[in-house]
Amino acid sequence: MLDRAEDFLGRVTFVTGPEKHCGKTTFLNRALALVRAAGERPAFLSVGYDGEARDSLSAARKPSVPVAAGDVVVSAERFLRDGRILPEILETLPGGSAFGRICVARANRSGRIVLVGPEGNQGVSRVLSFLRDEGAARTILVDGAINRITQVASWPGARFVFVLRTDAAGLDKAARQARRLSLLSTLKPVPAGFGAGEGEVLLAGPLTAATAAALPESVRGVSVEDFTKVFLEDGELRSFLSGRALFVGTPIECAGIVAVLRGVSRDAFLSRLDEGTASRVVFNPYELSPEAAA
Amino acid sequence: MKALRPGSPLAPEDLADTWAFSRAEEFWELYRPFTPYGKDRRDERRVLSDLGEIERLLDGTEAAAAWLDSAREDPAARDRAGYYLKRMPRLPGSAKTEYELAEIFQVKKFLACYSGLRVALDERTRASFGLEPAAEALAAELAKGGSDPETFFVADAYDPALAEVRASIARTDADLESARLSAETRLAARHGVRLAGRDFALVPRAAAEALLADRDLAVVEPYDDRLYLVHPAADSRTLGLRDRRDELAARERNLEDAILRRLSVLVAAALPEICNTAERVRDFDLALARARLCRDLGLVRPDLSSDGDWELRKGRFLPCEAECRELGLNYTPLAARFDRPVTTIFGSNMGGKTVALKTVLFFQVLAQAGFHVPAVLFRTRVYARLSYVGELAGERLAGLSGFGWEIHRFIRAWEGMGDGGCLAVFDEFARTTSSREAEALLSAAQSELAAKPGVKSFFATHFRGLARSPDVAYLRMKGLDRKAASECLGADAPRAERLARINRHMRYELEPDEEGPGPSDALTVAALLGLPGEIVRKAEEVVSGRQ
Repeated sequence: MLDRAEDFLGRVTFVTGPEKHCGKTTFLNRALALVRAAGERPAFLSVGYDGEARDSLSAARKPSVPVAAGDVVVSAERFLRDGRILPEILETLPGGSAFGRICVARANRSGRIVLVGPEGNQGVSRVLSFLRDEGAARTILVDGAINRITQVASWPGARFVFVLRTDAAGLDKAARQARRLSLLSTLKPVPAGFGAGEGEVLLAGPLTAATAAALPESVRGVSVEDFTKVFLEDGELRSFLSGRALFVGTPIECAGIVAVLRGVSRDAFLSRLDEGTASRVVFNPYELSPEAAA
Repeated sequence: MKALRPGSPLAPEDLADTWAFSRAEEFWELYRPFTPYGKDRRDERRVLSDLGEIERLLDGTEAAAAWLDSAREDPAARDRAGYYLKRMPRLPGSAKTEYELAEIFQVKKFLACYSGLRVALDERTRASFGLEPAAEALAAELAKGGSDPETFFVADAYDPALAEVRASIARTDADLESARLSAETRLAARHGVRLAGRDFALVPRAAAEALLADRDLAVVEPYDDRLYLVHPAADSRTLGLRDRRDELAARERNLEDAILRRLSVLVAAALPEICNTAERVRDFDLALARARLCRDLGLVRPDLSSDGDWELRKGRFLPCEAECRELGLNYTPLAARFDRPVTTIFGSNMGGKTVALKTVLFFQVLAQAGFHVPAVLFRTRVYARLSYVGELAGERLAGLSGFGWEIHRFIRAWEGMGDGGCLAVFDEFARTTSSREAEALLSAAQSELAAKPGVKSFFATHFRGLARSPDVAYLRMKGLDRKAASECLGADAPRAERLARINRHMRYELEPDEEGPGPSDALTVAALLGLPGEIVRKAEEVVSGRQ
């Protein structure tokens, strides 16, 4: 899982995580390398600029992203030029960023660049539409925060990867995050006609602890736009689901959970997960197994 | 040029109210230009007071419609024109000494799309909109940069020295890649660490022990108590190649910057011509959007040559027509000729008099925004001011504050009636006060408005006790077709169904109104709905003055 080009080819994959410094960009690099090795030229972008200086997969300075000739990248003009990739501008995005105008460009040479992308859901959607409509690339990777997934959700075949890191001190928290995310990604699509019946509520906004508490006892089913609109902790979510059904307008497929462990054994992490969550977990793709490194 | 629009400094509130009451926005939503410049202009919601400018817009619509018709046999040409219009980028706003790469891209893409658009159009249409060739020398120069007419990069073709530097970079990159592969191969051969395209790897401590002694080959750092981070060490040759690469990159950057500066000079020189071209493209884009509406909605050119008469034949108030369609009701287009300075429309509640006023403003706003209109004939003149006095959707004018608002709006309209004429619409003016005072106010206002040159005003009211004046036309909505309504009502039908059937027999047409009490649809409707007969009879006696 997530270690073959086929896991990414011909799709939009959103590489996301619960926080900064969780290793999203390094995982993105690995996925890009797999895609390129399969002879495909991907397109990739980030949502905004996360500015992290170090990356947790390597614990090293945050890497700029390697670019190969033929890749399509989205970034500010200054980074495109600084990356020495000989950028051919394909499109400019409306508005700008703190780093200047954001452009879609094709690399005419390999290099490394810092990614700066559109900030909002609308901007991400616009880039994805451009890439699709112009046939610029059929494999697209997006590096961004979890709450930006919404726009990707509507793309046929789009999936997300959840990258989380932990050390011994944060182990329980990371396990909760993994369980919660796994549970959210299994929520069923809202049935046709839902909302018209008694005890059915179509929530236009987020499902929070307060909204959940305010629901009348008679409510047996709730629907939200997608799982990013659920703001219940793991325990709250499980409690909610024990008495009510929760549906999503747009299901988003989870391609896997990448666990980046430092000073923690795989067994220790897996022992804190339920079976369904554990089945989604893969470990740091930069970690060579004893056999591979022997 | 005067442009009246919501938010403009010229009577913005007045026009905003007129716009809202006339439901012009619902028409505007159908108006869909393709280019960013067209969309910007559309979003200004310009209502004009310059006859010449309005006529030019109407001429443009007809020229674009003629092209649409001529291209009926060649739908590909239509598609191509739409394709290039949709792809037009925004342009840099001002002349600069140095443009960014992305700005030069925008200029190149604009010129490429413009060229594509011109090819899609015929000679007559190009001439009508002044779509002459533009900045051809610049376009040819920019065409050197990019694998596609709509993309741009600083290509080798701009400077032989650049090609030379890039060839050196390519050789250095190949050497660096070869060095990297060699290091990876040695790492795998000596220590079994296979990076397989990774920049680094995390290796179990036991496996990394031997690497610690091979520092020329790999950099090894502790990661945690279990793993080491390993990546190939750069040897002196690799470091030398990297330095060389940096030096070449700096030279390449200098050469690129010089090319961009040279291209910037060309762009700056051509920018006025390009911006002028963009304005002509915008005008064509807007005309084409209006022409599509003409064909889709069956619109006709308004006649703006009237000296004061306002005439409409089969005028369809599109928002109301759409609502009727949704509700399964018949819609009656408006036919009317208003030749007096003031027109009063009487009618029962729900009889359509407010819709008649909305129709008047809807057509006037559309015509002054340069649109053809949904009618068989529309004749009017251009007014410098369009005013509305009355309640707006979502408002509930009641009591003293409601009356205060009405008077405020009246004063605002009154004070704005200057040169250039004014078309003013008053819906249920003074409704919030007693009928006696309301009738006095209405009579006085109409008398004064009739004496104001260039002012055309329309009133809808249910107060019938007005002091009648020869300068005022008195009309009424035809209202309920009582015979047809009585015949179609099933005695046992539920009340809601009866109401719906009555609704279908309202006649939304205007007819002259004679002085006197007039027919009372309210009592008829009440009777048809089943109000006890004795109440209806007594009420009829009161109306006819028998009691």
